[in-house]
Amino acid sequence: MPPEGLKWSVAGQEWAENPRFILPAVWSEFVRMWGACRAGMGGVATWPDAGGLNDQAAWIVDAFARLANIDAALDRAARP
Amino acid sequence: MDPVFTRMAVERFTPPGCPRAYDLAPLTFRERQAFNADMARDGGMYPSRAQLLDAMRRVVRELAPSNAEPVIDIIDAAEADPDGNDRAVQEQISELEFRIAEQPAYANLVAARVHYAGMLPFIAARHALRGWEGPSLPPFVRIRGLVPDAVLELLPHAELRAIGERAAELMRVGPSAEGNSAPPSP
Repeated sequence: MPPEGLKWSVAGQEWAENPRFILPAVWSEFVRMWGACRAGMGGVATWPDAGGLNDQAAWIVDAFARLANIDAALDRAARP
Repeated sequence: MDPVFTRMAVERFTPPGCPRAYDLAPLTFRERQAFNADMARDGGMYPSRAQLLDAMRRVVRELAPSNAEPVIDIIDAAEADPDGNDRAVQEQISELEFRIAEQPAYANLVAARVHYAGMLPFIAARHALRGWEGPSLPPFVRIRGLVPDAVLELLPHAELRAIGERAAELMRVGPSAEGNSAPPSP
């Protein structure tokens, strides 16, 4: 739990409860998969499926891009 | 339904109350490009709400140039309320839509929307189907990555629609993924 009076913050959204216990576990696994595939500077080091960009499930390409955007926004916000 | 994590994971989809099951692929990036091209070719364009409202303004000015302004105000109010929260405005705009439904400048755009929405499930099924199983179905055929239209037309219409809608969901980030950042309580 966060300290008294504070909330969980995920991508700018505040949660009263730990989202890990509320969201279906499959989404945590998805974010973990993105973490395993990502490279620096918002890029992708490796894709989940064999082949290149064109060979990936299309929604995964979109979802990875969204996660990279959220991560970049958090990075910008955290930069002094 | 859980998301598929790989293009190799074909989903077995059963339309509600249906004894038949259909295998749907999530479509790869390349396959979705081909789907989008087919949509542009066979489904045409999906006019935006702004285009519809502009057409309404044109029709109103043409039909009633002397007293168009109060009606234009209703259209402006509807444009300012895209989520339909203002019930009074929505009722007024619905009545206006009904009154101008047969005016070609407006009707052509509505027809384009209906055509696009009608073609989408059909074209999505053409690209995403990988097989099927159940009574009263023809043998599954896929030629150069596509299920031929002549075969698709043998499927029950309501099922084809459900299959196509599910296939379209599988190729995009769905509401279950987008909405998962909404906090359940403040």
